[in-house]
Amino acid sequence: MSSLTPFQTVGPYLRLGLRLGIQPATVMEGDTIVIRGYLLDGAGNGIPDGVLEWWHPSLPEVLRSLTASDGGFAIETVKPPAITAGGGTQAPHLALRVLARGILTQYVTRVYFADDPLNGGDAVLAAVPESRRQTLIARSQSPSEYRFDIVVQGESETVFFDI
Amino acid sequence: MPASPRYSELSPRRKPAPGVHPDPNSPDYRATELRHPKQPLVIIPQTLTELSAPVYGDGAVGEHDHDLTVQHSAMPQGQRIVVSGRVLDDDGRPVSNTLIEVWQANAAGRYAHKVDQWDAPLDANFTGAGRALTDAEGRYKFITVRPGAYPWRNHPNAWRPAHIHFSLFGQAFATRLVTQMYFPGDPLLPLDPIFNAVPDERARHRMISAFDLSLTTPEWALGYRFDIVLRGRDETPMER
Repeated sequence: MSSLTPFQTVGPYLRLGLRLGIQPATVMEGDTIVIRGYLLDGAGNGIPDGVLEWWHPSLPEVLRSLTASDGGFAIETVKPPAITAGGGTQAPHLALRVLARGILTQYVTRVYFADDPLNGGDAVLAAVPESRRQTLIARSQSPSEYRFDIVVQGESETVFFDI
Repeated sequence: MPASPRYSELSPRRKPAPGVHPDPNSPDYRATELRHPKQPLVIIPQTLTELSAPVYGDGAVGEHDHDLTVQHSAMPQGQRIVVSGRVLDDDGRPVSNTLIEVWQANAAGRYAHKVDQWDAPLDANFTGAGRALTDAEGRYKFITVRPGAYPWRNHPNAWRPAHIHFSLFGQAFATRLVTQMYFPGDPLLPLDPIFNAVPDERARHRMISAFDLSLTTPEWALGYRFDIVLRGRDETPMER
């Protein structure tokens, strides 16, 4: 018998309660990068009232980014390191959670990085059907810039995880 | 020394009973139509990423952040209430030192947010946002005013029941919960598509706070109890 409290949407006024602008207390070592993209709905429109919570698995803190009026977002961070634990090595990635009005639970995904040699041996990527794997991989625009769109519904729908 | 298990050999994580969380495709809540994935969720091995315990702004809670009635020069309008409870995991263990963020409409049902253009009055003495950390027993307490119901345009004559938004992190990336606390006896609950997006009736009722005379403070405020149960934290690969 489950006793869990159910999920509910953050609704349209999440900016009132979810504190933003907290800077990481931990200094992140690595190359500075920015991941830019759009949070898109099933009609291809930007979702303007979303919040992304993202996390480096090697750091103790979650950080937040809001989407803009066109659904655009920017995640400024450093390139995460590979993670070795539990007898396996995970390719560099960010964990990412999407919350918004009209989203009754949470959509959890990951951002991997194009051309990383460790992607081929990553157990999570391997669990994703090959035809959809590209939705988890940020494309390199320049050495410090990546492009990653989050499509919550539709033809190039982003893979979301049951965790 | 036993060899480290591979991810796939870790014990399966606990799964919530069906019906506890809403179906992302809940047509009665119209905004879900274009915002729910149509592909199935992909089940992945639980790794350090899902099982470790990130925090958000730990230590950033001020002395009065839990009291939404003292954030301005005077008391806000409305029925003053105490909302308190415990945060537990589904093994019954207290979740201590976890951040809770709350936000809500004022007593008239208006949010202090530019998106809310309903003509109910704003209250210059009420922002409607608070935060608190749970103590060693998982207890928390907020002081606020009872929020009003408000109309929304989901369907003709649609009104949201009075509610307070709650956001919690718990003990791992995978234990995050965002929910809404409702009030007992609210006649709008049976009509609300968001509340009723939770399929299981008993689970729905866990989102309804209980009037509690022991939390009610004489000559000062009514008390409501709202206990919250998060998914437990599974072992991390490193701990095996």
